[in-house]
Amino acid sequence: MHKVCRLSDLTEKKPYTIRLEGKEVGVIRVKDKIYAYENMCPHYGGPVCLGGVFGRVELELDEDKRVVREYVSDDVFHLVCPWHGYEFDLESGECVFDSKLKLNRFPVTIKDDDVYVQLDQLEEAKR
Amino acid sequence: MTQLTIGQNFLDHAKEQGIKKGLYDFPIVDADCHYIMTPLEELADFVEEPWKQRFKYASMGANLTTFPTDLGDRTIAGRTKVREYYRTMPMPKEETMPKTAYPLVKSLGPLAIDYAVVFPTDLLNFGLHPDSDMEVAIAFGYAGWMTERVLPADPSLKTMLYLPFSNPEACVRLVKEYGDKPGVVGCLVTSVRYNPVHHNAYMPLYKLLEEKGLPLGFHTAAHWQELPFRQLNTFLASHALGFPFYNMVQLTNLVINGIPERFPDLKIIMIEAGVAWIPFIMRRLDLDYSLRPSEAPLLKKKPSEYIKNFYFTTQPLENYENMEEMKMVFDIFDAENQLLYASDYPHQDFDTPSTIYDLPFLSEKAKRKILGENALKLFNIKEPKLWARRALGEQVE
Repeated sequence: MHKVCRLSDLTEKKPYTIRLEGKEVGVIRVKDKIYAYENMCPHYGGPVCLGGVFGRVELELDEDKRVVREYVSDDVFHLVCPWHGYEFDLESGECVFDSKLKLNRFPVTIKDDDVYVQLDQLEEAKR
Repeated sequence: MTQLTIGQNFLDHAKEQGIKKGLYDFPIVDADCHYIMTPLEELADFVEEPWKQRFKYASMGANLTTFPTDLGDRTIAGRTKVREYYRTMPMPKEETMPKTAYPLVKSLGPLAIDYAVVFPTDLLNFGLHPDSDMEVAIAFGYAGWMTERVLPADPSLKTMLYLPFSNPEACVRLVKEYGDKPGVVGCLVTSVRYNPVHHNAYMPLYKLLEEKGLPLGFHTAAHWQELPFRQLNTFLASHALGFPFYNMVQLTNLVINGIPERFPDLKIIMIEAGVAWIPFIMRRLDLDYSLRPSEAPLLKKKPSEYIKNFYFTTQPLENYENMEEMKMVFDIFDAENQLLYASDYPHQDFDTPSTIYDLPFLSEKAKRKILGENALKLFNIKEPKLWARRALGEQVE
């Protein structure tokens, strides 16, 4: 386990991305949950964790399938690669465009105010 | 432990890919990349009045209303960061390179690009400007500024000159005055415009370009306000259809009116429409020609046979799940010999050289041809240097 930052270093929805022992990892805090993804976009190899976290854009339809409004989700978030805008579900690490493209996720442990990431082990993402 | 940022590390992975894949070991030519804004006040030094005064003071308010631009947010509300990286790159005080070109030149090394054919982003839709005299003035100002101020700043830079296509005689004058300048590798028509390329007035231009051996590029773009596109409610849709659309229009008029028959040695490049549209337009034109050959009397073979002699640039390379399908597309237009790698950097859909190098159906020889050798031959670049190796800390002379 590597200590990568303090919890207080993390800004909501702003990846904290570091290079450590030849690996790059982005630590992301959203709604008190901490995620750690490898900084490697499976599309063209871009630095995905230098991108931003955005609420998923959704469309609300009424019962007649007419568009009511477009809005930004407050529950589902995407990590977006800054090279080409490929969007990845923050929970599953899967690409919105093609679920076969998936980010590598590392296990995270919080002890006191410190954030630890296990870089030698990949974690099965949820959702 | 190092914290990574957009400003310091945006292209690190491209450089690592280049080292890992050996992309610094052979010449890579980017047939189409860009700077963002043309400094009109600097172009003022290369034009006569009344344009000199107008350009000199354009930055006081006229810049934004001088260049017709396409609608749409290229950053996708801040999701893509390439423009942020490009625009905020600090330039050392002692640097003498034109400010507008500096971030492009500094990006070429990490991308493993040895030669870059650069074109201004803000001229891509200038064919829509209603004032032909202004198009001519900007074209000449740009040619002077580019050849005297920008190209000499770095040996990796090349350009295809902007042709003021609304004035065919001015195009000829411009080619005569600037076509032989160092670093000029061709001339370029922006495809978003309404000047029919087969009009008799352009024949002297094509003849001159053919004689000089200068390729003629057609650089497409999107134009969301084009009448049929106004019913599209997203930039996504306008961009997807617009780029191939305008190059289809220009290519169709060139082929059906027999321009390749009239000027068989004129090299024509279709820029920035990807590759998926090429088989479509070949089959479509062959079908209609088979039914109505009397409307294309100059043709001595099928339209698709002429199209096979055109050159195309790679970007934006489409996604293919089935590589056999992609290979078929490449084979249909002889990509190994007719395709030129282009990055389109720093636009939001830029392609790194790996997009070509990683294609599993291409031989090493074909990869190197598409990434560099085809362009070196077409643009007549002799004894190429591996300028990108400067990014590895090496001296290249």
